[in-house]
Amino acid sequence: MKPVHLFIAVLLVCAVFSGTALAWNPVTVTDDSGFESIIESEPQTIVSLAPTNTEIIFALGLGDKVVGVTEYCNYPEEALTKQTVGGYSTINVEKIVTANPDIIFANPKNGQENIDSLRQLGYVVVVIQSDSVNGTYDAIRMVGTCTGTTAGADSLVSDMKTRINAVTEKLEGVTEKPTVMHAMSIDPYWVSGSSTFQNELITLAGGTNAFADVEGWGVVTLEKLLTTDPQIILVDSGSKMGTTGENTLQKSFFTEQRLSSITAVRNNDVYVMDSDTFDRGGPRIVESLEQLAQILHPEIFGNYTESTSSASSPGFGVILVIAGIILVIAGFIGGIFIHRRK
Amino acid sequence: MLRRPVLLLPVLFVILLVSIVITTFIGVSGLSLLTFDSEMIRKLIFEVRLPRVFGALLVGGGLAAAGCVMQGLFRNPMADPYIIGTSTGGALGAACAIVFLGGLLMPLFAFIGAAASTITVYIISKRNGRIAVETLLLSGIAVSLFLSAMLSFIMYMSGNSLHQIMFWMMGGFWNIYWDDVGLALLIPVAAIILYVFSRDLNVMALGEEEAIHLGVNTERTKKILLMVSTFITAIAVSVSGCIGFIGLIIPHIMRIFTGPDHRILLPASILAGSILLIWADTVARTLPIEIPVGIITAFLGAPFFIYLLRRRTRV
Repeated sequence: MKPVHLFIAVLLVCAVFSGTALAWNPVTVTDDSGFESIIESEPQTIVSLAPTNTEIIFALGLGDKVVGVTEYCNYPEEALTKQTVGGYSTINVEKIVTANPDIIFANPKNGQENIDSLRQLGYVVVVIQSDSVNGTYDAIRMVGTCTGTTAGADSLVSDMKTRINAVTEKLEGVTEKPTVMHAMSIDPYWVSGSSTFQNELITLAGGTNAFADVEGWGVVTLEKLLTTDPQIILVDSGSKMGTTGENTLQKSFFTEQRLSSITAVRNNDVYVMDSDTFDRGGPRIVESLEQLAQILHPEIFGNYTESTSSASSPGFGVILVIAGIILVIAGFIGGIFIHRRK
Repeated sequence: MLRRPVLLLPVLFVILLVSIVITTFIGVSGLSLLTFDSEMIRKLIFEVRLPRVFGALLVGGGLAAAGCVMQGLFRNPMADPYIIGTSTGGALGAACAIVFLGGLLMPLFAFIGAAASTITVYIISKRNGRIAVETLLLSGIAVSLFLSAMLSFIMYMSGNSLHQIMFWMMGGFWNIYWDDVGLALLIPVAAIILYVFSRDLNVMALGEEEAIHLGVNTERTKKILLMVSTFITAIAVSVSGCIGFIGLIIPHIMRIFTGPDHRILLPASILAGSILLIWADTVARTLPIEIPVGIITAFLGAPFFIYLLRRRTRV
C-alpha cells in the first residue's frame, strides 16, 4: 500500500509542478525580419528593446516578467521602474546578459548587428515591426504566441478592432475629408508622407494627408506648404518642448507671419499630438485615432479639447552634464593661461 | 589665367544679376504659379523666394570671401572659412539651442559658438603678442576635434532632436526671411574691410618676413583679417548652418581665371560664390523633396572643379 501511495503522491507533485511546463508546447515563430526562432519553454523573463514592444508586453499583463527595457520606454508608468538596457541602436549587450532574459523582443531599429550579436550569445530574439494598424495587431499576436498569452492577445486585438470600427463606421459616407499636415519639425518642415503610420491613422480618422506625394517622412519647402494650404495641422509633442512648457512647434506656426494665410492657422486648427501615442504602433493607437477623429470631424465626434501636454522638457541631468563640460573647457583655457604666466 | 582678369568682374556681375531674376521665378510651384491669385504670387515671390535668393547671395559671397582670405593668410590651399573651428563651434552652439531650448535663439547660439571657438583658437595660438599661422592652423584643428567630440556627445544624447541637428549641420535656407537677410547684410560691410587689405594680402603671400620688410604691419593685418573673416563666417553659419565647399573651392576656381592677385581674386570669388549658392539653393528648393543646400553645392561644384583642374594641368 505505502509504495503505491508514495508513487501516486510523487505523480501528483510532478503534475502540479510541471503543470505549466506540460502545457507548453515548443513554438516556432517566424518574426518580422524572416528569422525563425524556437521557444522551447514558457519565457519567465523578458527584455523589450522598443517602446512599442514594451507597451504590448505590459498590455498583455506580462509586466512582472520584464527585466529590461530601453531608455525610451516610458509607458506604462511601471516600465519606468524597470532596468534600462540602452537606447535604440545603442543597446548595452552586457546589461542584457546580466538580465539574462528567456526572450528578447527587438525592433528593426535596434540594428541588425546588435540583433545578430544577441543571437550569437544564444538568446531568443524576436524582431517585431509594428508600423501600421495591421502590423500592430500582428505584433500583439506575435508577443502573445511567444509568451503563451494568445487568448489575451486575441481579446486585446478584438477590443482594438471594435474601437477602431466604432470610429470608421461613423465616418462611412463622410465625403468631406480635411487635408491634414503632420509636422515633426519646423526648420525645415519635416512631415509624414504616404506609407507612414501617421498617414494611415489620418486616413482612418477621415482625413487626407496634405503631403501624400511625399514618400515616407520628408522635408517640404515653405513654398509648398503655402500652396498646399492644409486645413488641419498636427504637431508632435515630443522633441520641441520649450522650457516654458508650451509647445514651441505649435507656437511657431502662429508666430511665423508668412503662415498666417494658411487655413489651419487662420482657423486655429493646429493641434499637439502626444508623440509617444501617435508615433508608436502599440495598443494605444486607438486612443490616437479617437482623438484624431474628434479633431477632424467634431460634427460627428463632438468638440475636441486639448489636454495639456505631459511631455517634459529636457532633464536637468543633461544640463548639469553640459555645465560640467563647459567648466572643463574653462579650466582647460584657464590652465593654458596660468601655464603661460610661468 | 585670363589675359585681362579685370574683365571677369563685370561679366560675373551680369551673370549674378541675371541669376537673381531667373531664380526668383523658379520654384516648386513652377508654372502653376499662374493659377494662384495675385496675393499668393506676391507672397511667394517677395516673402518666400526673394529672401532665399538674397540670403544665398550674401552667404555664398561671404563664405567665398572668407575662404579666399583664409587661404591667402595661411598660404595653404586646404584652408577654408571653417578651418579654425568656426563650423564645429557654430554647430555645437546650434545643437545646444536645439536640445536645451527647443530651437529658440538658434542663430544667436550658433553665432556665439562660432565666434567663441575661433577666439579660443586665437588665444591659444597667441604668444608674446604674435600669432604664428602654423600654430593657429594646428590649434584650430585641435579645438575643432575637441568641439566635435562634444557635438557628437550631444547628438548621441539628443534622442528625438537628432534629425533637427542633422538638418542644421547640412546647411540650408529653409525658412529664411527678411530679418535673416538683414542680419546677413553685415557680410558685405565686412567684405569691404577685407577688400581694403587685399594688397597687404598679396604681399603676405610672399611670406611673412618679406611682408614685414616691405612695410606691412603683419600682426595687425593678420589680426584684422582673421577677425573680419571669422565674423563673416559666424554670421553665415548663424543664418544658414554649415554650408561646405563654397569657401574652399570657389577661390581655387577663380584663381584659375584671375591669378593670385587678391584685388581681383577677392571680388571675383565673392561674385562666383554668390552665383553658385543662388543656383544651388534654387535646385535644393525646386526638387520634389527639399534637399540641404550643402549637399547640392558639393555635388555640383566638385565635378566642375575636377574638370577645371584637369584642363589646367593639360594646357
